Amino acid sequence: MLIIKDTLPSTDIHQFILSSVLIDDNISFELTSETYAGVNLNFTLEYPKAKIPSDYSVTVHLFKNKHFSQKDIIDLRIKEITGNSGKIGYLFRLDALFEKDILQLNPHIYPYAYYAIEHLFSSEINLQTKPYELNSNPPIISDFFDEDTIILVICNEYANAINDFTISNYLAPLFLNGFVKFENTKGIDVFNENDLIKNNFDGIKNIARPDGAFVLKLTSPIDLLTKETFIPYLYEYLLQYKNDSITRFITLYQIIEISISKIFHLKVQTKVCANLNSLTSFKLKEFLGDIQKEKTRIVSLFNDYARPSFPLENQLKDAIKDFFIHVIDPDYSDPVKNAEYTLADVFYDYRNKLVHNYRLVHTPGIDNELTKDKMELINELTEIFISQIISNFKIN
Amino acid sequence: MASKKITSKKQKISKSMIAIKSILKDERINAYNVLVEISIQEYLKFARNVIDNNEFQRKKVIKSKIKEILKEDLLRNCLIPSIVLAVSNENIESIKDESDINTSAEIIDNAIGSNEILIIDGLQRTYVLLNLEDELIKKNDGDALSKLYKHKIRAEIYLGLNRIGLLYRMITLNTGQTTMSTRHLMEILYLDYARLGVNGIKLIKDKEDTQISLNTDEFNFKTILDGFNSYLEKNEGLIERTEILDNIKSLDVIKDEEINKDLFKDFLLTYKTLLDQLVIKSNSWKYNIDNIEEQALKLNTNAFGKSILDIFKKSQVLTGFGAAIGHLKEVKNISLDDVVNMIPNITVEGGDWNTALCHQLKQLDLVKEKSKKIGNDQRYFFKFFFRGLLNPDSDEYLNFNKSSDYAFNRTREDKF
Repeated sequence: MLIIKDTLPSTDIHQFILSSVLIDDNISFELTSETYAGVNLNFTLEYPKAKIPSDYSVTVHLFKNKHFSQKDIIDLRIKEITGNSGKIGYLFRLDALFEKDILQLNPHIYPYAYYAIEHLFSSEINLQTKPYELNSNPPIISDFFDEDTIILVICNEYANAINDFTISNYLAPLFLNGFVKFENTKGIDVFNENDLIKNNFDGIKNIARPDGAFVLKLTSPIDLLTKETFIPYLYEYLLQYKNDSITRFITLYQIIEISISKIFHLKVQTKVCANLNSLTSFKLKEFLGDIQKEKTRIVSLFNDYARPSFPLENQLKDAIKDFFIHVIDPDYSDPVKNAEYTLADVFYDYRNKLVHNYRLVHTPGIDNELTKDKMELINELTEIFISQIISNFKIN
Repeated sequence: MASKKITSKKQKISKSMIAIKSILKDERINAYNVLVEISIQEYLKFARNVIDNNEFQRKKVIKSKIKEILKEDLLRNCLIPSIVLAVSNENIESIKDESDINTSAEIIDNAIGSNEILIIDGLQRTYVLLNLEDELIKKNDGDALSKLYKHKIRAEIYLGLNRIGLLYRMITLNTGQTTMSTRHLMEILYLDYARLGVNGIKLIKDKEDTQISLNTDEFNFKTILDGFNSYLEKNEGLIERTEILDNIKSLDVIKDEEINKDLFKDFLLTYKTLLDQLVIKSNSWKYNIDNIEEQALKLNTNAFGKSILDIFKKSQVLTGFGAAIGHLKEVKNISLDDVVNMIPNITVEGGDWNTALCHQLKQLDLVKEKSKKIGNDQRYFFKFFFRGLLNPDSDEYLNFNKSSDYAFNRTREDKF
């Protein structure tokens, strides 16, 4: 459904629903309203000779990605799906489907684009991202959707190979490749423009299929994490919007909290329950005492369960150390000691000092703007870090 | 209930049954306003024919409940507010004064006969009337139809309204019209050119189901308007739909800027000169993959254009051209006549048009590959291409190859 606002002083809203599809060489979607004459939106893609298969349904989600070019097409696959090479759908720039000479889709890809538009226009839900007011020009697709809107078209029948499939479970790995979900008129305030994300996206584009599409294969997160409702909420409603650096870090740190709470149970299962007969009471007490410590579980998370990629580990570690040196933290005055710190050491220290010693940041003589920049870089890298944790968390 | 088959609609109208009641002159827009009484039958005879003539009016549909009430009222001979019409022929010199009923009647009759009449306020009421007529014919309800036909309505008919006056009146009536963009106002102002052409050049509108020939005598009206608008605005971008100016202000701007019809014509003729020269110089070049020797010039995507005209008749090129020469006029005082004089001197290195054009297509291919918004970046490319090509002070002046490289480098640096 699309919505058009009447011009002031009228406050009427006209609702448009797909009423017919006119197929010639190209396709035109005709939308009608009970309160306004019809509008036509022309799909500029050449209609394929092969018939569009029926008995399939799609779900459409809206994303943005700073690195996505207008002519890019990405074939999205899930590693755990064995049939059809794991394919579940495609990512397209929405406006590219309505502009001439941008995309040439083969008969396999075309139905995804076609079904997506049919879904957007005929759905009772309004996914429109821009309010549109009547004017004398015939409307075009970018009157209703942000120009850089990317649609993820998921074939429900293919995705159903995974029990209770929901795209919410894949927002972290999509984020790692630059894709940020958004809805309606809320837009996106901030993008993570770190080169690590750009490199990931460029990596997808290293190999192009003969039809010009690129393949992005995602791994499903472990069940333990899919049950955590905060994770999709973070990617759908929190990461896109700007907030204070400390608030943002604490928000991101929730993923560490969630993960280390899982580690406690996992460790007890694997190290205690599985070896109960060989454990002495002393060893058991010692083990439980150790695993109770947050630092122990963080070390375990970073080293065993979800090790960050090598460049991220180095960049994040350096960014935090750089921050502490900047704010003249006495714990970071010795370069020899600094060189020995691990990511777990500095990351946990950063979290603790923000929570318990925030005043350190405001020591007189320290350039506050620079402090802010350094904290924002840490947040940027932490966003990538937590997304890697969600995507790569493995039970040993 | 009448039993005979009712067929009315689209009958040819003879001398009208229109009764002129008063004529007043509107000095603001220099037009006569003629108040008439007309039977619904007479009105509907020509209304159906002219209903599609007004390209400026939105197609809002009255909410169905109100429509039904209006229909019921009409069947009971309810009086509806005056409908405002305009005769699109601007020539009213023959009307002597406000008492010249005969000449006014003649102008109205002729306009009705030739469908040169526009509904400027009352389109929705007309839709309801036509809809009611259709329903009664379908129901074969002759009595009700006859009663409806005999019922009279009032209409005000503007005589001698030029395009600006017509727009002004539509905007000030502010009933049923939507806000218009400058671009749309221009479209209306130059509509005659789409109908009549310019020096033998045909301008074809999107609505017309006519294929635009790949020659230099036929153009898409909208594309030329986009180019002309870019010339006036010195900006290659298409007007954003959100940037809708206040209409009256826009009309004043259009008048103040002396955007007269000749300037539009001159712009089009300048562009035609460029195209004619490119066709001659490149010997009607066509893209042929077999003629490309260098591997580096092979394209990854479909070619931007498959012939010299296919490339240079695209909107992206016209807007780039418009923006470039608009800019050159402002900063270097280069006129359209100057551009016409420069065009024959455009050269390619070694006289090799095939390499020069293949090279440009490859650059456009790379733009397409990297671009976040392909159309906009192509417009940007051509703005700098023409800025280099037609600026006597640039290093690229009249050199096709160098101008293309300059455009590509600028696009790459600024956009990617």
